[in-house]
Amino acid sequence: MTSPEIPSDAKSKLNKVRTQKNTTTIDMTPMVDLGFLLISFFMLTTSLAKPVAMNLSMPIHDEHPIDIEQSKVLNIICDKNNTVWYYEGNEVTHLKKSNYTFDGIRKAILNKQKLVDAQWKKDENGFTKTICLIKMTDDAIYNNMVDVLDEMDITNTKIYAIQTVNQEEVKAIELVRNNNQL
Amino acid sequence: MPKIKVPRKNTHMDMTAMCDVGFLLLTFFILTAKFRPNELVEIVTPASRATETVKDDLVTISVDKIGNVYYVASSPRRKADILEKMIEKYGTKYTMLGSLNAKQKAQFTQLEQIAFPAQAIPQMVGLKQNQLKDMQSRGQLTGVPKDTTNNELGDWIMATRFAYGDDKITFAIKGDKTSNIVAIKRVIDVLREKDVNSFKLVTALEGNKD
Repeated sequence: MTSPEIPSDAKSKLNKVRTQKNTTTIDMTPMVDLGFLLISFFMLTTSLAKPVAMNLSMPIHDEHPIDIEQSKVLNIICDKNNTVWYYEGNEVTHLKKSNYTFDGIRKAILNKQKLVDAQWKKDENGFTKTICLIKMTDDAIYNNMVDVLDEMDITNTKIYAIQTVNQEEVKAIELVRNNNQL
Repeated sequence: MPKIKVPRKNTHMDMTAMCDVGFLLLTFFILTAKFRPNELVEIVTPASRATETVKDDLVTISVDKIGNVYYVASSPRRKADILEKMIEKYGTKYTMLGSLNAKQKAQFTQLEQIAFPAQAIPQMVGLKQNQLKDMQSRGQLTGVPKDTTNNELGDWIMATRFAYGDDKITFAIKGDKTSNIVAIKRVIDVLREKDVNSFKLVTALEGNKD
């Protein structure tokens, strides 16, 4: 069908002008690569920056102190330069030096647990009855406290308390330090 | 013998759909990711085995390396309530604080953290986070006083408890790895004085330490 307004010779001229046909598809591969690269980046960074929280419960201030069997007790004292001291029960004079590594305080706690479990049996839930008293000298840093609380979790010690270090312990630590220097 | 024509397959694949999915996911992650707030002091938290992720509605008490305490209340609405309680307590003592106008109160709710004594609130609310950071780097910010003689930290805690009313409120201590234990102990003691006996310690996820 011919259109009335265009003469036939003019139409044939129009047909001769060829419009170049470009393909509309482009290679998406690099774009996909970039997309997934960014995704992996965002996924990795967001999960790494997330802080976590540990729970800490302290006793109510005016609560009456309860008597505990000294044979269940392990005292842990955090000191400066990442040293940690421990002694069993009330034997302050048998102070031992340790550190925060796998072989250090954790071993001491586990050994104490063995002793306590032998003497007192485990409780009905299968947890040890060992009591850890965590004390910190004024030279300790916050990291030490978190480390020891972590050890409580690792060794499954359910009964522990954060207390203040007493004069006897301070003296005992001084004594051990001086003896080592001599 | 007729030639067997091996059909030539086009190896080119249409990537458009894959691209769409990729960018959809990308957009999702960017939008849902929460950027770390522009904190006044950098606090490197110790690592722990804890796995519980921190919720947003925590009231955080940050303790920096030198033992300064920064109080971070959660939402602006809460901050407004907390400020009202503090004005009730200190408004008559510090007249400047008592006569805060509505604009200053609004500015207070935008503060990321309280890093100065209550007396200084009127001068500090107008400052931008970057200006506060400058002051911090010059050692001009002393944090919230927590001594027994001037225990404003305890007042902030009480104000927060009043502001929350019956709503559940979770306090958290965010200490620096190297901050002295005395400062942390003091914060714990203040919390206990105000009958907050259970709280959280903010730590980082532990890598393979041992």
